[in-house]
Amino acid sequence: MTFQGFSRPPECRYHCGTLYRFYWNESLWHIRKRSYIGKLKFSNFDAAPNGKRVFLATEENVVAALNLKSGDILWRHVLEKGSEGVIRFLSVDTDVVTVSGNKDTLLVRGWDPSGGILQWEWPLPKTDHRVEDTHWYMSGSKLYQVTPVALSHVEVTAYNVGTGGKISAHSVPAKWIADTSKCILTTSYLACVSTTLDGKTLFGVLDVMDSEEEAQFWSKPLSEFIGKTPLGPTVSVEPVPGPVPAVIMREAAGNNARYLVYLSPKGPQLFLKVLSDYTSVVTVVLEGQHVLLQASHSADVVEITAHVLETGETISELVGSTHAFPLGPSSLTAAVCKLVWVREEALSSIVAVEMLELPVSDTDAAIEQEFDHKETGILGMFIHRISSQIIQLRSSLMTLLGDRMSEGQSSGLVRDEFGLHKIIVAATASGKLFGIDNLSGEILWQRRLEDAAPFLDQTTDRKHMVLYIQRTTRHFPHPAQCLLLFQDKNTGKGSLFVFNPFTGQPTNEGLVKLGFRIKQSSLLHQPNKEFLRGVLLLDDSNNIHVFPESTREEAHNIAASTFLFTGENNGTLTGYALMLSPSEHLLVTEVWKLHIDQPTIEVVGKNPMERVHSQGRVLGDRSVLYKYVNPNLVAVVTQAPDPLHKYLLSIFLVDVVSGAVVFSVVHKRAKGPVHLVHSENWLVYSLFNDKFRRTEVVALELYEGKTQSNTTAFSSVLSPIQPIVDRQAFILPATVEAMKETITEKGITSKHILVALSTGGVVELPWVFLDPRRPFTLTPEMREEGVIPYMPELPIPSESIINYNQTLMRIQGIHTSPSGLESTSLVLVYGLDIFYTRVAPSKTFDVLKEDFDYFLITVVLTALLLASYVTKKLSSKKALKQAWK
Amino acid sequence: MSTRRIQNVDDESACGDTDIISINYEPTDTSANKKSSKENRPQQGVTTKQSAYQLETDHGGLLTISLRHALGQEPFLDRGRITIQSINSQSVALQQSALSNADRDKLKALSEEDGLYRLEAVVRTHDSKETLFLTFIKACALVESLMSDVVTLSLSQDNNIIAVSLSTQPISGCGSLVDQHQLKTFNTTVVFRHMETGPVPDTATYVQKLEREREARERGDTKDNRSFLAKYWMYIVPVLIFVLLSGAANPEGAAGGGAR
Repeated sequence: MTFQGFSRPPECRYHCGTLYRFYWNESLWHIRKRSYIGKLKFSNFDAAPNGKRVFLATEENVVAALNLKSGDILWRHVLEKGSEGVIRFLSVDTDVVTVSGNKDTLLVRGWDPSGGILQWEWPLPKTDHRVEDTHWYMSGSKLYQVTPVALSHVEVTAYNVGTGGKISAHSVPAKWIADTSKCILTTSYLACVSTTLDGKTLFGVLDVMDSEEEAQFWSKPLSEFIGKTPLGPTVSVEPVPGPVPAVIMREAAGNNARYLVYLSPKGPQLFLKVLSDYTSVVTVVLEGQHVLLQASHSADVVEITAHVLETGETISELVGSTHAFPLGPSSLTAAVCKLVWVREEALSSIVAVEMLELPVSDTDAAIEQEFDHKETGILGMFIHRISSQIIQLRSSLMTLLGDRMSEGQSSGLVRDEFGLHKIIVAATASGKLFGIDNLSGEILWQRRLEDAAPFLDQTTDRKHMVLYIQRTTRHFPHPAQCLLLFQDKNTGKGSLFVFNPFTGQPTNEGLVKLGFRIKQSSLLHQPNKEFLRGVLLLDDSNNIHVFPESTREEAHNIAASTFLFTGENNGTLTGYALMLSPSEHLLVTEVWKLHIDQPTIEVVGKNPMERVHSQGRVLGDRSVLYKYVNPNLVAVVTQAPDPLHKYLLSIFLVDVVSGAVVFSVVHKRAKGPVHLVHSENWLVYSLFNDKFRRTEVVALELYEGKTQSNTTAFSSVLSPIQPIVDRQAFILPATVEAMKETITEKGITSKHILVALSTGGVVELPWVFLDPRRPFTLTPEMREEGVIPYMPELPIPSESIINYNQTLMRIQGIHTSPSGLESTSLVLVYGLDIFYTRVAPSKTFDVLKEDFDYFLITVVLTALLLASYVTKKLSSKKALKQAWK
Repeated sequence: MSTRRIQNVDDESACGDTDIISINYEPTDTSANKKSSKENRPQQGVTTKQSAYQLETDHGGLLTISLRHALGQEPFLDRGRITIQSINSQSVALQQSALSNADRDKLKALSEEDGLYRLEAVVRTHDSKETLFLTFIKACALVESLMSDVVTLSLSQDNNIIAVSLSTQPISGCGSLVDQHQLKTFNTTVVFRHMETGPVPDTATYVQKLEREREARERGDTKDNRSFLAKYWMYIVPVLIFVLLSGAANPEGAAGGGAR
């Protein structure tokens, strides 16, 4: 007998063992990524005659090409972070040329326009002049670098753009250019406005393409060709985009008078005295004429007017050309007649984000409403029951007839069975609010807030807004309500915006401009009768405000147990207790104050939504080590220079109710950036070890001990306990951009830590790897406890990268939110890209597998039932037969 | 008024009604080390002890802390003074005035209405640099613990005081009857809390461990010296069960066959 079954073709040995390739298929529908480029800085059309691309450089140090028809990103390159990658010049010819960098290194790069491949790169020689003053111009294969030097001359250097070789260099004397003068480059002309000592304002123009012999500054007092000069010393000058040399001059302060000066070959001439109320201007060359286009944007209409620059006449017909206008700070539109596409680039700078559960469907709401009315009698209950059943019957009939549901449900914004469908509410740095469907990634609504600016952290330069969920969707018929706190762009005083998170519509209060600066804010933990949670605001003169007024009573009720704290950048932390004065007036009293005397770089508390399911940890010997779960614990990270150790990085765990420093630890020769995750009874942070030049991850775990001090509630004030701190450090062979822990509804599922790496991956790191109790030698007891032996280096297995091949750039933060399923946590990673997925740290233990065979189970069950029935019959027959024997 | 000299007592329980005020000079991690040593982690205890020793070395000079307290919303009044000769030698002198009868009544009243007892501490260093700290406890906790409070001085890495915080011995709750006469003098304990040195990845021990394992493997020292049963029980038990089951099933089957 031969084994015919082993008939695997021999070549499979090689084919089956080849590299596993990840296919982006439909089964990963819950993963979504959106790519952005950031706030626009420079833009240029394709130089090729029928090119359908636009090339952009943004403030996020991104060079990208967009498809003009669809607005999709064709290619995108993210340059160096910070000042090293600031793009200072963009030009498109045969290559896309960028100049980027700071005063130490300036790099000229050439990118292939079609594929975005880096063709060449060379550094510009270092100069002593400020890089902000330097201008560049490209003509053919020559790159001109123009540097005005105050009170002396203008340096013009030409380079061969492909090789970096210097072609020519000369300087044009210009003694009248002062330190305060403003110079810009429009096409090949350098235009300068300078105020001389005797108060005269001079305007000068230089063609940088002129050779050394003929180069000459044309300069004249500004009043000579603007007329009775209303422009004072604060006049600013800006170039008009396009191929025609023209500048706009405006008074920086005071009246908004704008003057357009056309730099014609005959010499500068004033073209328009006062430009109309425009949004954008651009110059074009149409049939050999220099034409100025003005686009004014009002309501939904973009009105475009055209003038010939040489003669000043108006063109009535515009044929066959498309031009781009940057409209507003956050969207880019390319249209003459109708809107072709919009990119929401504001989403590249999310500063506050929340995920909200969707409301229940109308029928479910009716059922819930039925049980709400407890006070009505039997008859009332009966009527409610009948009416709700009629509604159910009607809706089921309607679905049978294929009719659409009422408009509330037509958008599909109804809570699903597992609570996986949510709405993402995101506030952005430009003051635009978005509501995004988490499953489709579609933007459901957007709203721009006037004069909104994020709060700015002075030591870390981090922008943030505060988004509070005042009421969730659970309290039908009251709609959900969110509150966004931000500051006014002009005054720096606090503002707030109250809105419905599902529509973006403002509620009764809407946008409120507070007359004070906000020092601290806090959401009351007790809702009022309408299930609305108020917000406490502490202003800079230590007065307390309650918003909205309807929650004042609740604020008064819990005043005695409410504490606030503020932290300053110099390491001074102050705690306040809320009190009710005899005249029923809320006030705060300073109750604790501590001086760390080092610059604070981070203050991290715990997620208020978090629930700790298990109060202790069962050890190998069956005893319990109780966790030190202090909800008031806040980690304060400070960074200070040190004469001995160069850098000192300190972590202070402060109980912000009692003001006690519970634990403090110092890392020598360590510096930031520090990313910190604070949850349950542990703390995980990453830092840079300057001595070994590597990233380290430190885990601290706090325990009360073998006995629990207070089994019912934790009190910071009455019985302070000193926790036992376990600690351990690990090496992470990567650079961390952000860190966050997963969160689930009941906290039963084990926690994983999501670590965003600079390589663009987000790694899901199980907590067991970071456990400070990992021993060197594993005893059987420890093994029973489930602890793995210590290894100094943390593994980054590629299969635990949750974004697979979807590289995420410039990650700013990670937001996690519980879903209706205990096993699943929803994850939103934001930065230059937005990425949504969900993770199941303990695997999906509460969901049937996707390949669960319902058919087989049904067949087996019915067969078993039938068999048992038949055998019962048979056995009774047999028993009868035997009885007769 | 009483001036008391401080002795260094290791045990926390020593602070009671005795004349000695205890100083818990523990670099706080010693308690952690006590625990962790049980849990088989000797390597950490060594490193932290060393670091605590290092911290002590670089400080001298006199520190005075003047204490002023406020009962509820009343203004701050003088309470006393803590003089620290030097943080290294842990010699602390306390000078505190007793509570006046009027203040005692106020404290009692404050305790009943669940008010806050606030303490202001001005730390003056030897180069007369002043820093103001503020701390509080619930008035009822102070009454309940019979005026025995703990002043914790948190120190930074270079032995500067960064926080002064007041607490009491843990109490179960408020509201029990306390004799007025016991609320007279403060029974204060001063505790220093040092900063600890952060952990670093312990590569040396790990490499040593790997080295040892490799050597052991080379020597063929991985001989399993468990008993025969301990090694092969997982094979023996199924065989045993199988034998037992077949043994038990056989007579039954025979009986069934016989009945037919």
